[in-house]
Amino acid sequence: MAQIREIKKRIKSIQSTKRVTHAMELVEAAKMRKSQLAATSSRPYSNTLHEILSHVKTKSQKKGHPLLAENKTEKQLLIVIAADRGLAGGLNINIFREILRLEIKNASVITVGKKATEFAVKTQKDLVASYRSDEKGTLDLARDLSKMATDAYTKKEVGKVTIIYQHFESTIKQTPTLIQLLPIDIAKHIETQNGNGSSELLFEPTADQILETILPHHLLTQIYQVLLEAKASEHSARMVAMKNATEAAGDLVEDLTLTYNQARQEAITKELLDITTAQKAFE
Amino acid sequence: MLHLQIITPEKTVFDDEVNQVSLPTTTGQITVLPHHIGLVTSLQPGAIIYLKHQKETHLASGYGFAQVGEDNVKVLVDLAAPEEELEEKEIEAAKRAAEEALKQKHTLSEEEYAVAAANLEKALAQLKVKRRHRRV
Repeated sequence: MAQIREIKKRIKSIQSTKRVTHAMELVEAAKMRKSQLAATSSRPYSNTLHEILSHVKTKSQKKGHPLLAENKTEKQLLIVIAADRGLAGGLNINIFREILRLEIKNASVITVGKKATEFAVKTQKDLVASYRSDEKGTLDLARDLSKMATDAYTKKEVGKVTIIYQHFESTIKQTPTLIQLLPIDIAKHIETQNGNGSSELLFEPTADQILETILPHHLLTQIYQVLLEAKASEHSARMVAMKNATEAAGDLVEDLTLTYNQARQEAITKELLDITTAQKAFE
Repeated sequence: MLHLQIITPEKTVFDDEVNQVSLPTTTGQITVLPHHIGLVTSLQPGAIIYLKHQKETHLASGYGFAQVGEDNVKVLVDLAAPEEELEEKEIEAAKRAAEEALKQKHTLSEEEYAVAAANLEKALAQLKVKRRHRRV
């Protein structure tokens, strides 16, 4: 009897867990749709900006814009984007594993997301600033980050600014990605753009002036895009994790119900046996 | 024909063939026709006007960049709203908020001031597009 009650208790508790995970799945699914749409629909903007920038860069006379010039400082700045909360499968862990694997030396860290902050504290990184991912609007956050990155870079406190985040590929696939923000690395962009390298280009007002405005804007857009991608990844990963949890709970309940019925039947049979033996004894 | 793409960080607002397009650049309004020479320019708040099938369409636009190729124009702006999507009351509210913010000039940081000024410019551009018909 004791065993039967135990099993029943477990079934109940698993069922209520299942209800919770199912509710979370639905909530995350709604958030996921929104954030995925935001991430994918802002991609054309950042891609086209890349393209324009690469055109401008090749035509600009002025070399050594502070955001383009390399600087020899050993130190670097790493911006880590992770989630505020867990329960998102391997999302956060994979980022941290990637950071450890890359063995980034001499880096100060800016973190976005509570989990990233916890990680930085635990690994005793030099934490410069930390944000919660929902502390302020995405664009404001991007503005803050790009300002800090630009300041640190132009004052030559750091020689390189990189950002690591989960790139959103699809609902079931996110890859930890590291990109270099500063110095802005355009050589790469030009290669992809060789096809329509229009030889004659006018600039209004001038290439240098456009470059002057487009570079900070490019940085901002890049960070903004990264934040959107990270958000989409987070919600997708959590939705999938919750879906798996709900399914696992369902399987477990099924299993336990079977065991429960078996135990119950066994108990009944035993009881019947007792009764009939007792009856037989009296005859 | 000219392939016009108007892209904001939120979405691709417009992606179609047009006959001509006028852009509010920092050095003044320019009109682009097919077979224009390659051009890269920066935009300020104003109205983007394109002509398609002899019909003019006005869009309120914000800050951004434009790249003109032989038969395509790519416009990147932080705001692009067709006339019918503009809500006059909301814009008025945004304009007042921006003006309020600008009044407290000394308490604002440099960035905040720039943001407020940009918002005001954009609100004015939108109002201009919206009220275009009234004056005629």
